[in-house]
Amino acid sequence: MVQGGYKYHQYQVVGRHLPSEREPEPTIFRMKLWATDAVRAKSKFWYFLRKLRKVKKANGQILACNEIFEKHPTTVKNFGVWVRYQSRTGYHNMYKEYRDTTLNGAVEQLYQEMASRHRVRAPCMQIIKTATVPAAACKRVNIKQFHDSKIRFPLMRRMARPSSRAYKTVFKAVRPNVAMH
Amino acid sequence: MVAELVRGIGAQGRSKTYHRRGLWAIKKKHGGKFPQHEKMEKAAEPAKKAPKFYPADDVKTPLKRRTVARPTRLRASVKPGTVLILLAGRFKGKRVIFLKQLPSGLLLVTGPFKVNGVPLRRVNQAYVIATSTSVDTSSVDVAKFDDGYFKAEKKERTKKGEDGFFAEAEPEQKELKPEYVENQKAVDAALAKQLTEELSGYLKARFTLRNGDRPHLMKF
Amino acid sequence: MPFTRYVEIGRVALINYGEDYGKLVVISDVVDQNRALVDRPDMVRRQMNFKRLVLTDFKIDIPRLAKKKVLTAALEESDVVTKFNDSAWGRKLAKRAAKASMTDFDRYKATVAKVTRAKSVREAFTKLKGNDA
Repeated sequence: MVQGGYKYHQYQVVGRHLPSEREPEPTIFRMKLWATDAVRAKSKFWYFLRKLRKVKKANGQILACNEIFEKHPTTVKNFGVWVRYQSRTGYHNMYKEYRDTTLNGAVEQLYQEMASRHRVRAPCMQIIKTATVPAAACKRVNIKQFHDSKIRFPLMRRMARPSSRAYKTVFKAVRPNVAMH
Repeated sequence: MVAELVRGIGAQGRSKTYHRRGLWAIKKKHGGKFPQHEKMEKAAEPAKKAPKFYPADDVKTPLKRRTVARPTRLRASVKPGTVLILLAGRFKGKRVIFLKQLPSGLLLVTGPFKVNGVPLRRVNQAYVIATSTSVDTSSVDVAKFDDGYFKAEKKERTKKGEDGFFAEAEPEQKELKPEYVENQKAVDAALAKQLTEELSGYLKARFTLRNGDRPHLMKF
Repeated sequence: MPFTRYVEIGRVALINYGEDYGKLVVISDVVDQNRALVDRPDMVRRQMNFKRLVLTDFKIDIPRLAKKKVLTAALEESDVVTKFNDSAWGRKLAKRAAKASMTDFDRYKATVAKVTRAKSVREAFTKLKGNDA
């Protein structure tokens, strides 16, 4: 299955300080992060690493940069995301839960939600940690309500929709019937 | 395809490319040498005498024309016997039978004349919709029709005198040559055997679009 | 009117948009209020927005995230696909597809049939009218 359509992809970047005489085998760091492409992923890696350790791009080297794909993209999982973001007043930490088939999808949802609810854009956000959360450990009610194999709900306000984009119109002569259940 | 470092420079070097392409195997097969075509022997050029004088005037040589008139490709949906819908001209909307493609690229079609009044005619395939219906035309002899057959006869130009100018020009009804009529009759007779009543009714009917018809979504 | 069609595991739905337009799928799991995981024997299970789905009257008995084998067996046993094709909705879709695939000659034959039928109806009608008057 093609795992595409997401703006942000997950990459793992491996890097270290350049070896020197005093330190012939410097510690190797591996980071998993989200970026639109491999180049930005490496840039993000240096951004985080110089905050966390005394290594900069000027005196460091990248050993590997790979994209990470979802192992089971055909099952629904609960993803917990810990995020730190800069608002207009200061820095905040947050924990959010999403249901999706891929982690990339969950991160996409996160970016969308943060932008809409808190007006936070992607560059102001730092994803601290992500995890697949078992159903019993989920915290958010909105996520927990779907943990039911006997789940059953109707769809409301159903309309006849155009079958392809070519048939979409902005203006309609007739009001739509919104009760096509 | 091997990735390129920059345009024109592959990621693999010469040696690696040599092994990847398996050139060594070809070399081995031919005893350590690449197979080569032997050069054709050129005919010895005739000895030319150098001209005594350098020509004072430049002689213009015409430009070389490299264009080649390639024969028009017939649309894949058009095969001998296919029923076509004419889109332009006097017979627009008429359904006709395609007989063959002429050397000029035009299509030779006929109604048949007996059925819907379309004579043997040439049309450009751009002005035609091909349908999926077809008629067996193997029995029709179309060997004698070529582009020359349809050429108009040269009009004889007469000098217009004064009296001729003022005299009322009489519309001349041109008589069709009897062989044209006969040819048409022969083609019609051959086609008539292949047409069922339903098919000839279909050929008689004109194609037209009505309200709500969406020609780009229609199947023909 | 109460609701009769629900989003639930095993509900058969019709895709009404995109490249899989007109195909029947089965809801295999509910992702959230907008999306479901849908499955059919000849495709890879994937999520799909409810906007692209129309629920049908049919529901098959499958567990959550059913395996392809289980799904195929359940579909075959319940005979949902033929049942849907026999329903008024399925017949309407089939008729639409048949009409769209008519060739130019078919359209001509249909017109002729329509005209001849109208003619015979008209004749019969005038005959009856004439008797009454």
